[in-house]
Amino acid sequence: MRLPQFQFHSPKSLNNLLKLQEKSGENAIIMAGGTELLNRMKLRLIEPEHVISLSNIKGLNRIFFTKDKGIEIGSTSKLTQIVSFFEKIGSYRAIYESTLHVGSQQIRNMATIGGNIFQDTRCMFYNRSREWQKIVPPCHKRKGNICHAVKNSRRCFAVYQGDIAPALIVLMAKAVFYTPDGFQELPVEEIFSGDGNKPFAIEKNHILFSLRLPPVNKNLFSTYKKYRIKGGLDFPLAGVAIALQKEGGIVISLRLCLTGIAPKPIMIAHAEKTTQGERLNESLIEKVAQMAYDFVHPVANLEDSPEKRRFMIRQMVYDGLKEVIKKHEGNG
Amino acid sequence: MANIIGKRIPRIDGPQKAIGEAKYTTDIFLPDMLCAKILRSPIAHAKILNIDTSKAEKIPGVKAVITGKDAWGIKHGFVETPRYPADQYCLANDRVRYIGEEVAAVAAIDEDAAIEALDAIKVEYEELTPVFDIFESIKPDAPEIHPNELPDLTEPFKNVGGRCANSFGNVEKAFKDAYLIKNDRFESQLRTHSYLEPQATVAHYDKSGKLNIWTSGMGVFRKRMHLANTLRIPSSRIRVHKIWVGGAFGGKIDLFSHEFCTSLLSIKTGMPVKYVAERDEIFSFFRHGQPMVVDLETAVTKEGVILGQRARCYNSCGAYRGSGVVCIFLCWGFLILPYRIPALDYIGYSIYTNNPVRAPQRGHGAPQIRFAVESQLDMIAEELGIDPIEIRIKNARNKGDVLPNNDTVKNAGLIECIKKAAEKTNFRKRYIKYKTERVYQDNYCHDDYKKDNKRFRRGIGIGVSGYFTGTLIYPNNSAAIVQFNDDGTVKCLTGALDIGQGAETIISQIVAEELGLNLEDVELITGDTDTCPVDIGSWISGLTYVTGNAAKKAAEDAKRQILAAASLELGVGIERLEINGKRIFIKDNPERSIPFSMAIARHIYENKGDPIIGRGFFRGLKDAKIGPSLKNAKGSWSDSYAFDAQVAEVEVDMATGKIRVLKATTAHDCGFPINPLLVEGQIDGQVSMATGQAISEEVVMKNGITLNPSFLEYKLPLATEMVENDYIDIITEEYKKDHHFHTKEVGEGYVSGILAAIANAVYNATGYRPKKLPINIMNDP
Amino acid sequence: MKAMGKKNKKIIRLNINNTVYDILVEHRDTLLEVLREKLLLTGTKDACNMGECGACTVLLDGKPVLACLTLAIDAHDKEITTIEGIAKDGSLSPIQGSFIEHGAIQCGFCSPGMILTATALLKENPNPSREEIKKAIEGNICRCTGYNKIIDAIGDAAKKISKDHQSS
Repeated sequence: MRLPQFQFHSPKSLNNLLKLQEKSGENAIIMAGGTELLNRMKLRLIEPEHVISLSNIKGLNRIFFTKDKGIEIGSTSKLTQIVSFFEKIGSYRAIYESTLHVGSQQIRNMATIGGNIFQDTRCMFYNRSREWQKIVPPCHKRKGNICHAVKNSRRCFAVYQGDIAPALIVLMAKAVFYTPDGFQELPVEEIFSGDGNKPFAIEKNHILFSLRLPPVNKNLFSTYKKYRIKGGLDFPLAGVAIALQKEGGIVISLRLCLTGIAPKPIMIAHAEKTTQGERLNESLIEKVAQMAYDFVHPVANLEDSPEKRRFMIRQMVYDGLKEVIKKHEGNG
Repeated sequence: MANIIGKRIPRIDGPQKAIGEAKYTTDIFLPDMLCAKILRSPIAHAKILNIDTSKAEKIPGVKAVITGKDAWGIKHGFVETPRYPADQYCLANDRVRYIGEEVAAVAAIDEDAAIEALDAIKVEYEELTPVFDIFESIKPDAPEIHPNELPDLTEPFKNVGGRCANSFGNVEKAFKDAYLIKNDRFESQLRTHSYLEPQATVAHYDKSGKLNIWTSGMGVFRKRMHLANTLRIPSSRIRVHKIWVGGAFGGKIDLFSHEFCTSLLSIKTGMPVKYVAERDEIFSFFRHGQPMVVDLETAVTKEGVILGQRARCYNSCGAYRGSGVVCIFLCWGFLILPYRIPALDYIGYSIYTNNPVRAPQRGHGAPQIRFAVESQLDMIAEELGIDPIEIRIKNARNKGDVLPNNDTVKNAGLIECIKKAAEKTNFRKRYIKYKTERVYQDNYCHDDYKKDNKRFRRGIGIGVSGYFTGTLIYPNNSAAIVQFNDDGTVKCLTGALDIGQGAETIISQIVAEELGLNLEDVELITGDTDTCPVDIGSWISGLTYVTGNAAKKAAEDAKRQILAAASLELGVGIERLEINGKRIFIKDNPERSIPFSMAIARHIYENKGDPIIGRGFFRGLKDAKIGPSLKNAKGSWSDSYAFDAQVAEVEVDMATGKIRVLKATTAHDCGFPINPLLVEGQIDGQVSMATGQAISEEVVMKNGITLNPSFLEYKLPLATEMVENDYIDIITEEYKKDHHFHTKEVGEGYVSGILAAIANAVYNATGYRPKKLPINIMNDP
Repeated sequence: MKAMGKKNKKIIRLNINNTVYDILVEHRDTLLEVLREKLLLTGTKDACNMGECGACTVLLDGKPVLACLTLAIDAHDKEITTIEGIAKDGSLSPIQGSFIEHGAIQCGFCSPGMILTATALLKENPNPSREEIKKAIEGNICRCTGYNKIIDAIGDAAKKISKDHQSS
């Protein structure tokens, strides 16, 4: 199936991009790497009249240390760039681990971090071809009024399956947007609306400029665990990002963020509260893992059963916590 | 002493494929070529009341639109016999019976116009009640998909498309005398071939009135026959061209609607027409392998010797007969082949449902049957306290065994396969070690596994299989021509089609061996119905045996002629001559020799200008009038039977249920390998396919709709899931000059043993007995 | 989507296998479509058109990418290498030779994409471990070979290439 007809624009500056966007009206879309966008266009899930590419805009793909020893990642940085950079520095491990397993080598050469964050939610009843869609009545996300995953549901349960966002969230990253009113910053978790149908709470003319990671404490260790049936292109059927800061055996902070099980990344706030100031022993680890299990309610709209995905969340939280603790111990 | 046979020779088509020069059907671009698209039924079961194509025809760029009324009501089928007459239309006639059934086709100047035309075709349906599950479908009150036409169907079943019943021996007594009887149900899933090259056809009805076809198929003569019948054109006016094929594995044998449609559209427009299936179309609507439920009851002595079996196979063939009727016959065969079964009561049913039609997939019943038999045999062995190797050796067929249909297995090397595989893998010791290391739990992924150091469990298992080597099915035989060029090189014409298995290399090796040539001296012209003689096709595991022997005979014929001429030229009797390096020598006086070119010139001179052309014909089952009966499995089935024993080593993560297949050891009796490098390649591919079938692959369908129609969601093995392979050749035949060779198949038989071995290995590791595929140790078994 | 509606077109410059082409393309044309249909460079294969199988892998500025998800217009002025550009002056590359020698090609449909991914791998990592090879070709599906001989071939080619470099 060929792509639908559209007009392609490749502006050289963000200001020109915003002007173009305004001129093009409702049916315009921003393209970064295009791997996810073009796929949806081939399925005719979206048919924009204008595609505005970020690829010619200079300065959007740099990764560098900021003055305060944090890191700034340009929004069109390719995933291979990110893997390479974070492999070298060793810290912010969750960023490395989450990016390394996105797609295949080819995809990582093409896809950008901005594109990965802003990927649309997915569902096995939605990401289907035009031919398939002629057979099955349209659901909420396809401008219909039913949900094939959850009978009689009035809302959309399409799943956010981005790997990198939860890692950014546990590492307290901020998203920097370029807007007609200048730069604006937002914690990454506030990008998401929680609505499977319209997953992002961001204005159309707010263009992701970069991600800013705060400087990381030497006592902070992070990891990302991904559950999928096979490797390669498989999206997470469940994913867990963990950032743990410990000192002298006591938890300073524990941040947990899950992906692949709801229309947005899910933070387990009460896990953070429960563990703060505590010694992270075996029973507390199990308790936190169980909290994550109890908190999530995936539905049957991806390639594995909701029960298995919940089960894996618990298992991965457990395994992930054990791992970051080990890293701590390895570092005295 | 063979020079080329038995050697690891790189494939002759390797270079052109490595540089991207090899052309496949999708690579054909002809001037003014039109794009064809197919309109499919969105409903699983319905009457077609009306089709209005008038708007579609008027769309700019649309050149032709066809529907069922253009197809003359002609039917075709995977088999066409009095018992199982052709039952499928190229375009739906007055009913549709599955979602995706072809209803209309358009040819337009580009894809956009073609899709717009499809959207403009209005079809009026009257919905009928569908049925998707085989056990619902056989109920007396089930909706009728096809009327019952089988006179021998005594069971009160509806929607039975095929029935194969065979029994022998005293089954009652066997079960009465048994020390132990086991009765189990095994279920194999819907899985699919996933060939990389999409289904595609280019048809060009040229100005001379010749219909030129390039199609991604598995046998050019069969395609031509079907097209001639359905288009009502003489075979001589159809040319199926040679083209490379990007994998098939059984899924491209049948006549496909798009082959008919592109042909008819080209005839109507006079322009070339191309159809390429979208990948999700292939996953959703094209033919997958046969899902099956096997009920197996086995009676054994205290020592584990099989006394008798009762088996019922319930095959899900889809909305039309497809190859289901053959599959249920083959299931009988795969039951009686590897082990001695003194008494058997077998019935196989091929049952219609409102799902897409199913096709053979590598093994065609063998994987499903061996999974059942090998799993149950392990269960029996454990109950009797016998080890899995011992019980198999006790029951295995031996050299010269006569099968219930009076074929003999000739030089069966199965026992040696089992012994060698067990020895190489240190099976017995490791089997016991892994068994004692596992801890029985009711909940197989108990939380305790998180903590203890036994989270990752190893297991080892064995599976045994047998396979036939070609049988009789249209066109039943192969012919080959070997023609000498003046310089002593040869041209070999054969209708064989290389679908990836290396047919061209094998045939070249055989011809080169017979004529003492180098491989580069043999030019192969293949796979074209106009320029090549008839060929049996690259399926039913017959090509190497049937076509190989035809090519051998043609080469022998050419050799006789060149030796006769050399005899005259050298002035000695033929018996004193031998061939090497494009020269003919006197055996006891090798200083006297002449080049081929001189002998050829002499032949031409002696025969008043006639060139040297060698002809060879071959078919299996020479004394049989027809192939075996699909109704009762009687009759000769194959000349030659292959056997194998395969051992799988797995690792299971008890905390998550993830299974990794670490290693596969295949001890195979393929007679003798003509090219061991190619044989290894076949084993590798089949082990990979079996791994996918065992642990992750499934086409998920609900109410006739496929829910995972993509490479992303259909979980076939990637490079990171590669299984390390070990190969053990068990040589039971040899290549002899002046005698047809008895090689055995290698393309299909190695899926089943390893599939069963993986299931047995998972049990060894975890204590969980898989009864369903794909294996999920977190499910109730 | 009207068949004869407005088509947005542009002339772009593509540098493919060191040959420069000026081609008129539609904005929506993918690099895969332009390679195969406009330039008749059919070595790059279309097996799924959704970026899920790797058969359409080409090198863009030396990096393996999927041609079916690359807009031709986005490949303007970049260096593109397809399978047709791997053999030099009629000589097979060490990877191509190794594939043939090891029996790593059966039906051949995945081979162009696989060879390109392998070519890029060995340029970046001249001595990859078996695991690194598997990970690098994880995005290239093969249904015929089980990957065994492909991995053997790439490993062997790596040895050959470093031997050639040492001796030169």
